Amino acid sequence: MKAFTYQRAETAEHAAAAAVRPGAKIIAGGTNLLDLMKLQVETP
Amino acid sequence: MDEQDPNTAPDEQRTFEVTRRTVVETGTTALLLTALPRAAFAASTVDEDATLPPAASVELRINGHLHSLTLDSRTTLLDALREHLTLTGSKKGCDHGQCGACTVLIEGRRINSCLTLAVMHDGQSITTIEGLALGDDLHPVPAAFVEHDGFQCGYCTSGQICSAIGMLAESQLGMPSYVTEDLAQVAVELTDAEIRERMSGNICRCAAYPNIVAAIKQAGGMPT
Repeated sequence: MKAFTYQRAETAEHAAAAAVRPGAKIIAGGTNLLDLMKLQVETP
Repeated sequence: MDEQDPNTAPDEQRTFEVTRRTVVETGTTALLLTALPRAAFAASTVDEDATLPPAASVELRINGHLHSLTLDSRTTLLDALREHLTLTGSKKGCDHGQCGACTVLIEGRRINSCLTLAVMHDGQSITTIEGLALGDDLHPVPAAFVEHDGFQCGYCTSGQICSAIGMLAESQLGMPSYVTEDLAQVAVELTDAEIRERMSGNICRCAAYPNIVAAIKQAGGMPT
């Protein structure tokens, strides 16, 4: 898995601002995203 | 003729030894050849990308004990448990969320710990197979697994047990499954079909399924 920075959103505004940054991905349950990140299909 | 015999024998032996040695030497060379570029490649990658991966702090309450960890943000909860806290009861089967061997309980809900990051669970309460027993007494679910032989090799068992505990709580709350006919019922009746459907995320390679179903039925207070 490629290195990434994890940001925990404190407010909805914070989450919205973080989500529009280039390459950013939102993770909630994360099952599918993490699976794809392990195979480097997704590299947020 | 008599003189030739002792001569031919060592000759043959020598030929054989040389051949054997050649094979071993060739093999070693081949191994070195394959190992060297890989080592060189690994070294160069590290040099180019010398920055450390972003670390993140996380506080996890695991089986009632608070743990403060500083982890690479890529660390899955399963790796944090197994590699950083040496809680190796949760197993790594497929590492892709397909087998359920890594199932743990977070705030009482079951989750595949291989498919969640440790940093996502800051401040949360996690229960693993190690934290189920009440002192020297087994938790009712593992006790039922022992009574009904709900395992053979045991590799999937910690996941099966955590999943069963989560599943029993879900059914008591009236959460429907794919096979629930009456979606309005308050508590779900634990039929074989219900248990099998709700436990379908936990694979058992030994196929101890009938015994697992019996164990869960008993733990759920149903007649077995």
